[in-house]
Amino acid sequence: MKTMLKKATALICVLLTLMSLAVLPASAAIENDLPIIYLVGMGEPVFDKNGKQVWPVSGGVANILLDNSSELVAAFSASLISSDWTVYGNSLRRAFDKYYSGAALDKNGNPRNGTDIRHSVAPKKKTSNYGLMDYRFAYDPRLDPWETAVELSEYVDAVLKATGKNKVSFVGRCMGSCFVSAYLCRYGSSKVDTCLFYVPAVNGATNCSQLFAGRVHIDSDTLNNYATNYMGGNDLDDMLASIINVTYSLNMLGMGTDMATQIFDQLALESFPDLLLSTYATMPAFWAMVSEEYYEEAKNFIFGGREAEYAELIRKIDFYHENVKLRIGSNLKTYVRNGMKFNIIAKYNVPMPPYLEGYNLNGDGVVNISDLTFGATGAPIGRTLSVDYLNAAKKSGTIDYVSDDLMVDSSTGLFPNYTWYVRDIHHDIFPTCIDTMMLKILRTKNQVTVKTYSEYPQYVSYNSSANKLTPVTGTVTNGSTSSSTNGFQKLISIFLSIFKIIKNLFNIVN
Amino acid sequence: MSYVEISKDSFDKEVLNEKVCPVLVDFWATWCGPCQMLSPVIDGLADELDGEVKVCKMDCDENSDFIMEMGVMTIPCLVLFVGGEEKGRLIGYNEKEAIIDFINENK
Repeated sequence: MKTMLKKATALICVLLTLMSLAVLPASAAIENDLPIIYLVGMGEPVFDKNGKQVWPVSGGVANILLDNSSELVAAFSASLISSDWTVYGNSLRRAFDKYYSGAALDKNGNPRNGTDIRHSVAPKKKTSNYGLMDYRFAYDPRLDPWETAVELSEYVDAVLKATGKNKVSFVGRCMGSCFVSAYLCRYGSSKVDTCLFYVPAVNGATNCSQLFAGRVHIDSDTLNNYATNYMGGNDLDDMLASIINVTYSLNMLGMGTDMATQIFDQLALESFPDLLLSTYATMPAFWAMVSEEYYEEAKNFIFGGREAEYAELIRKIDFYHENVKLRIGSNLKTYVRNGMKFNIIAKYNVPMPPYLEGYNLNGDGVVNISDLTFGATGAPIGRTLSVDYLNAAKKSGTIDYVSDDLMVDSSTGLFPNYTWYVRDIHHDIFPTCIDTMMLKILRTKNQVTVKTYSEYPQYVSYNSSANKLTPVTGTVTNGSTSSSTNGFQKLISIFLSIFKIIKNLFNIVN
Repeated sequence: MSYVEISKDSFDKEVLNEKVCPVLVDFWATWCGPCQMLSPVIDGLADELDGEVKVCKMDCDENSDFIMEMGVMTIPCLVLFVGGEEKGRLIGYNEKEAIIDFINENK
């Protein structure tokens, strides 16, 4: 009896041990120490042969306009009198040419005058504890991602050699996702453990797509809405926003923007193609960020009548379009089936710039939510998905994929279980709390889904003051309704803003 | 005279023990675009400065442990040694004149 009891106890012990072992892998994430190669958005700065930085242009558009203000004002006045806006358009192009043409590529989409990025980041030999940016593939943000894939492939091999590992992981942010995608479409996924797209532009960046297609537009309601909800944070912005609000409430903004709309429409039609062909439109990497929806329209708008002159550039961008942009979605499905892990981190509830036709599209202020996620559905900014849509989602059983604020449905995206949505954060803001989240995903051995970590549910909201991600709750912020404050309150806020600026100036002088 | 191809094993002999003239070491790699741009400039300098400056090249992939020890994180990276001591670093692609200025300022 004693022996039987001992045997039974031993058996129970063995069973308990086996059970605990079976439970262990599911409850404990296994460290993944494969090297991570980061491809940042917009690549590296570009220099000319004299060592002068030609890209990005220091000071940006504001400086260009200020430095050339006398010529621009004269041309503007001449155009106003004659109603011939090509005069102003040519003046604008000359001003931009001075700053941007140094980085523009030739008609074949190749660098001119020895312009290039000037360094690469050497792979470092480590065996564990890689930081997210330990390996940065330095790329020229103007060049064809397909051609650059050759360099990226050599870089991957160099990292593998330096680390002794057999696979790498990629993080592709914004334009970086186009270069990662070109690599994957050209060389396959056999050397890739995890691919993480962070606000990817591989399906198109809305501002790039619509600018290249000449889809720009200004109207008073949009401008007032933007000023009310999205401007602010510094004294000058506060003041400008207040001025826009007051002019809007006095119905003057409509008159001003009506004129601006006419000028913009004419400029867009007559001058944008030339303006862009002396800058961004010579760069295949920017064409890579023109969405499928606008691609043919943009090509006609920019190259119309000049196809023979730009034949090689067009061949290059068409090749990328057909072999990467149109294929990456289905290719990703194949790579995932073959064992590559894949995730996307998207952002939402930030409108596009107010001069674009697609201002109201939900997204991160640069890329709309559908392009960010390979097809998720987003309600226009400040609204929720319609009742009919939600009822249909309930019927089809996809309601669980709809965010609690009812703004986004991830079920229509390509990888609904592998995609996260961060609310209230602009494309160009990169808080460390999202780096931490990315590192957690990349360091996990198995495919991470939106259910894997309770601290990272599918929909999170970014709290900038606490640098934290918190689960999205059922409220909609930054609605499109007009401000409830009256004209008198706005006037007070103008005076307060002016007073703050003067006070700050006084502090600086002292 | 053309440049001298060096490794971590020949570094002491070719660079640290060189007492006659300054040594310019070019850290490069096959996958690095700017290194390829710089390569003909360095070849030209090796001929032009023959007898005044010794020019060496080190392949980072073949000597990855060593470049970690040297703290070379970004390439191309030119390091100037005088009497076995490091005197300065020049990172990224540079024109020939800029490299000659760098040598003259540091030697």
